[in-house]
Amino acid sequence: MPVFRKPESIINTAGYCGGCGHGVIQRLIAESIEELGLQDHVIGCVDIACSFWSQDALNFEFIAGPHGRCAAVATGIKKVRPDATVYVHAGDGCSYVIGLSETIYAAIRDVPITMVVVNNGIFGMTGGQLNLATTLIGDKTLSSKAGRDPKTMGHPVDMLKTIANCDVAFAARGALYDVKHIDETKRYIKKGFQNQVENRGFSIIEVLSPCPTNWKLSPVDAMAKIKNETEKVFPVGVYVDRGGKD
Amino acid sequence: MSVDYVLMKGNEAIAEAALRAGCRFYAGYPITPQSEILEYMSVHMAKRGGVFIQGENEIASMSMLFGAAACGARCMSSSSGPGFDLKQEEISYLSAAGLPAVLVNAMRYGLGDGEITAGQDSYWVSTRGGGHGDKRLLVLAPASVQECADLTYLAFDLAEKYRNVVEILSDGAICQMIEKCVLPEPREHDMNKFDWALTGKPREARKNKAYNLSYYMGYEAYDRYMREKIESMFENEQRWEEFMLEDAELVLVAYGISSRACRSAVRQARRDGMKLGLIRPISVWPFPRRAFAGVPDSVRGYVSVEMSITTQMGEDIQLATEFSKPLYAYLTSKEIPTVEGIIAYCQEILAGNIKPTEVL
Amino acid sequence: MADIIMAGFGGQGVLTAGKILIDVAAREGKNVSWTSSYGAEMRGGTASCSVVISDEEIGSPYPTKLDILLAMNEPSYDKFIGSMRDGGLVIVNTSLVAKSGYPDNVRVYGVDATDMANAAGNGRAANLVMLGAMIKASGLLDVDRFGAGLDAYFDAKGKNTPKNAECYRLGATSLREL
Repeated sequence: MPVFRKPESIINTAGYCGGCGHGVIQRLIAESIEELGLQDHVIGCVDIACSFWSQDALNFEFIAGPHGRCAAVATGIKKVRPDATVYVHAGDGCSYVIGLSETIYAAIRDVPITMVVVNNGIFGMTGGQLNLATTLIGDKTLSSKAGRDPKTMGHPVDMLKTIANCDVAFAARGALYDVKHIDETKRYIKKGFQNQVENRGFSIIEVLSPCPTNWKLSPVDAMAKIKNETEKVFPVGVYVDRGGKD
Repeated sequence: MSVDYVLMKGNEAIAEAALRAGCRFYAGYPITPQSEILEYMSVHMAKRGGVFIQGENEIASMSMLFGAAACGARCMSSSSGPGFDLKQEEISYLSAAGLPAVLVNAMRYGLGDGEITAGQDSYWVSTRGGGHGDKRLLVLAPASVQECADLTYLAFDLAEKYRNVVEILSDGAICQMIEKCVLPEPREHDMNKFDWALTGKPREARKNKAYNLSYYMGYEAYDRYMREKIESMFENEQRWEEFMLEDAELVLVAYGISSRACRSAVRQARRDGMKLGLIRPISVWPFPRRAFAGVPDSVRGYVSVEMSITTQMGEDIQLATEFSKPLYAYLTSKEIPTVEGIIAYCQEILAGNIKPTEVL
Repeated sequence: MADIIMAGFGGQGVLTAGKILIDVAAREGKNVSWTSSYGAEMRGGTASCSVVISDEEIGSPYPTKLDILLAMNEPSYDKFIGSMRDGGLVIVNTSLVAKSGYPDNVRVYGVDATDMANAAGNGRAANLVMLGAMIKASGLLDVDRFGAGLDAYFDAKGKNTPKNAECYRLGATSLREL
């Protein structure tokens, strides 16, 4: 009879808020790495934002560099340590706003890393400001208190469509609001690591993730918001799967 | 006929010496007058089994370098003026994480985009800068193609010895000129030799983290570590050259391309009966204060010769001399100083026609 | 010891002429330096390089007083003729430079470098004609040894042709005092 176990790579609790999706994503990363047998040769790259806590929680080597530059930092690592499993765990502020250029160019270079982007529609670590790429129209944040107005703040952008313009190995979006979607997200993340094992190229997995603290919603209502609102703007599914190209 | 030298540009000597020092990672973005470093690396890095990346900008290039440096690779990037400004963020992060790296700054003239011709106005950003925060960069200023090679080769050792960023402060003249150069012996670097580097270690091993050392050491221990490191670099890494200081009446102080004209001026002036000498800082941080302790009593003043609008090095000379002698600054800004110009300026000083320069 | 400027239009090969000169001089045991104008400095018609050849350590690689000027076009001649030391040597490309008179304090030699290179079927080698004239008139280095060095320079680049040496010889034998 299967026993439900915590991945042994998780060695500490992390400082995430209650109901936050980061911890689930961190666990999916650890499960994927262990199921593929990669846990003895991993370098994780986190941003100096909420994902930073993962470097205390997981028993891997980690690097945290300048805010937003994760894809570039991971590129440097993978180039000099091509045999290591190198992954990015970062937010949408890092990956799509200040570090959009770094993300896009990692995709253009097709660097064989696994990049997991947490789309929670907000700047979490700094207390809940507007995210130009992902905050939904009308959503209230500390820097858009009357709600996001597209006339002055533009519209949210599906960055996976932008990245799909590049010749990458894999691009997909998952969500965490029910078991079915968590399982699907896990399959995407594992696929991203499998691609790295097979040296297939750049894999990016975006995850629609709740931030109850800054959304000022209960964890349950935050999940409902993703299902009813966020997913309408950012559909889940596979955007690119280049498949075998040996 | 075989020869033991090569004729190359300063830029090429820097790039080749870096490769011979075991540099196996270069990332950078083109900017005149140092693009030949990037171009040289694009041709030769792969032949040595290393990684060359033309970055999408300087910030990304430096972030890639940050990752490679954390893995223990010998890393280099290079830029000039406005491009070097963009590297400041990662210099601060490299310094915080105690990561070694060698950066080249080939100075050009002017604020903003300025002009692509030679200048020396990045003294301040090099000796005081490197982003925010308490730290020092070791800054070495070559004055010949030979020194471009020698100091670059040395820079990688210093960077690792102190786990510190080392800057090669070149300029548009030194990096573009061709001279004879005897290249150093090639060596291999073992990127697994450090106990701090990221390698991707197995479960049982102690894991390394590349991030602010203060986070892991605690702030008090970190502050002490940084202070002691800076003191140690200041104490041990002052480098300079003295030229005809004995019985000098005026001592020229100049580095890089300006020091070349100064050497000629000292020789010429002494032929004409005017007693000039020269202190040439090779390290501009640490500034070679020790050089000034041994100057003879005959010295009546110091002349800082710089290609800048106001004197930048002047305040370091005043600190080194404890304001004991007048300081004059011969500033040529966009023009490379000439022997005639330096000599005429010194004649005016000795004739009492020029007031000391106030450091602003 | 010689402070030299070689100047002309971009594309006339003055930078290469300077590189050949330092290459051969260095093999003869001299100290050498080569610096060039680049980028915005070059806008307005002249490209130039400064060459210093010396038995002693070289101070400033940017000489302000010249022993030798090699002028491949008229703007270059006009720009640098005032920098000559007394007794200095000026080589002018008389295919493109036509002055009614020359200063008394310098020796001036002319050679139809552009025309000769074209006639020899090696139009890009006007710089080598000029070099031939310069080596011959200056006595800086032995004419034959320099010719061999010039061949070695192009051989090392993998793009030599007998016409290079021919153009150099033409320069060394066709110069005339102006």
